[in-house]
Amino acid sequence: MALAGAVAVTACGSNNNTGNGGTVAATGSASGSCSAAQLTGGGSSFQAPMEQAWSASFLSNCPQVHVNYNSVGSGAGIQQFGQGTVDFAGSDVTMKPDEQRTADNRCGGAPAIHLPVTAGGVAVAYNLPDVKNLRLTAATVAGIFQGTITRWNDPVLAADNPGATLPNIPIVVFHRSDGSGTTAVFSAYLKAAAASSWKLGSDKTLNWPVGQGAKGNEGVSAGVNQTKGGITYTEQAFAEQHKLTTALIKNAGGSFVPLTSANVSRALETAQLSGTGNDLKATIDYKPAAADAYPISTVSYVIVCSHYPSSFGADKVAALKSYLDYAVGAGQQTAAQLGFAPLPPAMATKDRAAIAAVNAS
Amino acid sequence: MTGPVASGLRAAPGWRETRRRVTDRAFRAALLLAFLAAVAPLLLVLGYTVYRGASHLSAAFLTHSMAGVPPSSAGGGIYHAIVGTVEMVLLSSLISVPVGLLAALYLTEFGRGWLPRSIRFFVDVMTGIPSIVAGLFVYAFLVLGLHRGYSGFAGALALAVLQLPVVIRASEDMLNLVPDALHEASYALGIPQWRTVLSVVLPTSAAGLTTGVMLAVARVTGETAPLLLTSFDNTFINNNPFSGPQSALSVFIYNSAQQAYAPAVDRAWAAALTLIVLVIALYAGARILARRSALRQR
Amino acid sequence: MTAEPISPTSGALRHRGGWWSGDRAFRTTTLACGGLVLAVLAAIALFLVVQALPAFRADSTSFWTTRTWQPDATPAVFGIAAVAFGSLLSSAIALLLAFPVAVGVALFITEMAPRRVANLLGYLTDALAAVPSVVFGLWGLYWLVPRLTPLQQWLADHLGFIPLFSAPQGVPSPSRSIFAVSIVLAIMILPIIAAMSRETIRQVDPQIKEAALGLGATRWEVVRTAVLPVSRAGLFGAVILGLGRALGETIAVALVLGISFDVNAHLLVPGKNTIAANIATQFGEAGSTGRAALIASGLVLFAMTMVVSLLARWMLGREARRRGASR
Repeated sequence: MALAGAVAVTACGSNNNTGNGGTVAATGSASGSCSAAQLTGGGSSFQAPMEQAWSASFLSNCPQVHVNYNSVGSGAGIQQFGQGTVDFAGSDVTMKPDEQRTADNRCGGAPAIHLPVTAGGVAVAYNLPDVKNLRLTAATVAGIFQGTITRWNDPVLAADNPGATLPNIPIVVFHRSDGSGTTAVFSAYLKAAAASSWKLGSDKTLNWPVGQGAKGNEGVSAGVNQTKGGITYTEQAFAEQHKLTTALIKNAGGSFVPLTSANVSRALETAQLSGTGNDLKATIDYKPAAADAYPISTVSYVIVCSHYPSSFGADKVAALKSYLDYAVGAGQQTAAQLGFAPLPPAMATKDRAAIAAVNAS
Repeated sequence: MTGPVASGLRAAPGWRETRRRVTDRAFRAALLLAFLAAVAPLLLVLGYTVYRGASHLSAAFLTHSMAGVPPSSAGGGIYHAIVGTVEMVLLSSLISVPVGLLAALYLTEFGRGWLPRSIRFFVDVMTGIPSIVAGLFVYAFLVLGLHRGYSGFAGALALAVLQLPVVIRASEDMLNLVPDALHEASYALGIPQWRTVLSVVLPTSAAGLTTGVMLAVARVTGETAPLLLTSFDNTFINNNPFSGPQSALSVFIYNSAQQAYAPAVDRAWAAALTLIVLVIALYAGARILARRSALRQR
Repeated sequence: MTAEPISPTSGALRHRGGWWSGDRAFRTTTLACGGLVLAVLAAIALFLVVQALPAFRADSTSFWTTRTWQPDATPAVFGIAAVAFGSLLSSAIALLLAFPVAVGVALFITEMAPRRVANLLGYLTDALAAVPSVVFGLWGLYWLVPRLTPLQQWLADHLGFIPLFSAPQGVPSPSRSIFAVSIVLAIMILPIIAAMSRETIRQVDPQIKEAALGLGATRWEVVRTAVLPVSRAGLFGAVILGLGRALGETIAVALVLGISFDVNAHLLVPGKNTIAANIATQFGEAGSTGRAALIASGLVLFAMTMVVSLLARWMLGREARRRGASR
């Protein structure tokens, strides 16, 4: 009886979502082949919304290419890529040497390469209803998140915000309880821009001396939303969704810059691409000097094999290349509305060249 | 001295009698309070889920997948997740319930010796297994080891591993409640052990065993972590649990609820409501089946 | 706890050869399933030990007393002191809250409610088990915790002299504390304990209850003398299942608790962590040492369940021997 029910259930669903929220064809067509393929990718949750948006709109270009991206975390994504269970990985940070070795093994000896696919900024969001446009420097951010600045009306904060009435309430810090690429970027920024005061290093998990841990960008944003005097670091899209005010961060040029897609793109123009050949590892400049460059900006990578072994399948490689080419090309147009920033054009061009060079036995 | 007996039947109750009555009243009141304390959270949680999710349920939502719908857009549906959950929970129960029940029968019918003691020990320990561990195990042996890749079946196996201790623990307790006298009577009539189990022990404990199975099903319908490693996830409909990644309602809820986009969060709550209704329907079905089989025995 | 099982051969019964094969098939099948279960569970245990070993090698400090969790740093510094403490604390409180309520519900349904209503009430309590843990986590985070905070503040103000309820820096608003988490956990394990208890209590021999009633006992006394004592084994099983669920609950705790790696007994302020929640939050981004360390902490969780189970079995066994009961 239960089996009959299960069979009945399988008979009445549809993948066709035109008219039910499915996107219409994105502008620009995909170059390359559209042969039927199932691609699985896993990793960073930072880039997950972009991957899912690309997977959805790429269907219009290539209806037979099904791309599934699951945000299991950069660490797990890299591990699963190295083990061959996912076809590409998403990661906010470049691989460590032992991870690189495992990934190269998976690729049959050919190097596994990093391809930046999207960019975004980390917002410093706070809950003070009467204070818009809070201005923070790297040193004050470091002080707040290390617990040396504990109240909102601290003189250091007041000095940077002459016009604002800062209340005499404690600062409630929210940080990530889970390992996170966002934490890695945030701490990398502080390590570079507040080197003398930031003691916690840069990693996906930190040994926070103060504050409450909350799970995910959702958790920290909700925490700040519920707590008067709360402050946290989170992705731009989450700050927008929870209607949190984001602070203006002072960059190396001396300007206090708000977080917008354009400002993130501006900051990434000075990023250097290190890495050999088509391995496009970006060294982010966390001290950009341009007047509208938002300093807490980063890129997120997709990790693929530069050369897939024959067991992978030529069709799958062709489909993967089409998908990635679309993602770093026409797919960048949806970045801003999702809370991300488009890649700087120079980076995107190098990306497309690297993608075109991916091949299979 | 006055006491309930010494003062005669129609005398006023003594202090002992009053104390007994008062304790009894207090006890009844406490039971009622306990019941209300148990029902209140249910109503609160269900009410909140309905409040957040009911308005986003629709026929289109239940019959479409998320293919082609980015997380920031409204629309799309959970059909692919429903299929995945139904298939995986069915498969896992088909594996864990017979194996678990037979193992529990082994423990109750042949219960002495080192083997039953070891099984009981491991079962007790494994009731506390963090669910991700079951996923890791199946990932290592099936997805990775045998190179079968992600599949609904791998997910079902991981769920079965989680269900087994619950089924065995609950079934063993329920089977132990069958009075020895029934066993003895049956054997005295010359009925062999296996027939006794089939026609006496199982029907007597049917209600309790059904409860155990329901607890096991409830244990896994909401599991996310083991499925992420075994059935992965899929935005498209996959009707075949033996090949290719499959979605599941639990994974869908978990992923969507933590997105930055309001439509995704709305879909998560609607999916949560669907899952709860689905499991309650399963319960109702199980109870009706159990009642019918028990009645037939009489 | 289990009596000598009655078997047809224990009275030296002998019959014609026909039913021997049926019994042998039965014995073989059940034995095979029992063996299979043991093999699978033992394989999992072995698998975990092998996966956890690299962590012990890599840990530069004591695994048992360190509180912080930085297994992927150089040098690796991590230990289970904080997470194990939190697991024990939250599960103990959850059990303390849930067990009396669950047994009360079970007694209410079996002893006090009219027959027809009893079934319906049973379904109601079972329905709570249908709610997935992520929903409990989200409901706890968005609905319950803000509403629990005034209660927590009241407790800190009026009962703050008891160390458990003291809040040196005040109770923040909202307070995502172990207290709140334990309440959510209690709600989650309630239907399990209640369902098992209900089945156990329902099976109590009605003759014993009638005898007690005939002697003039009140309802309370019937329960106290006739129902509860014989239900110990079933209630123990219910507690073990509930404890297992509480210890192993990952996502609800991860969503509700304001996590930190402290060890203190302040129930009303945010902070502390549990092993399962730590696994849930750290696993996705962990490196290879990190994963090994998380699995090692999972093994500690097993050890906890094992100790509690052995302890309870021993206590039950002593109780049974003292009373001279056979079951």
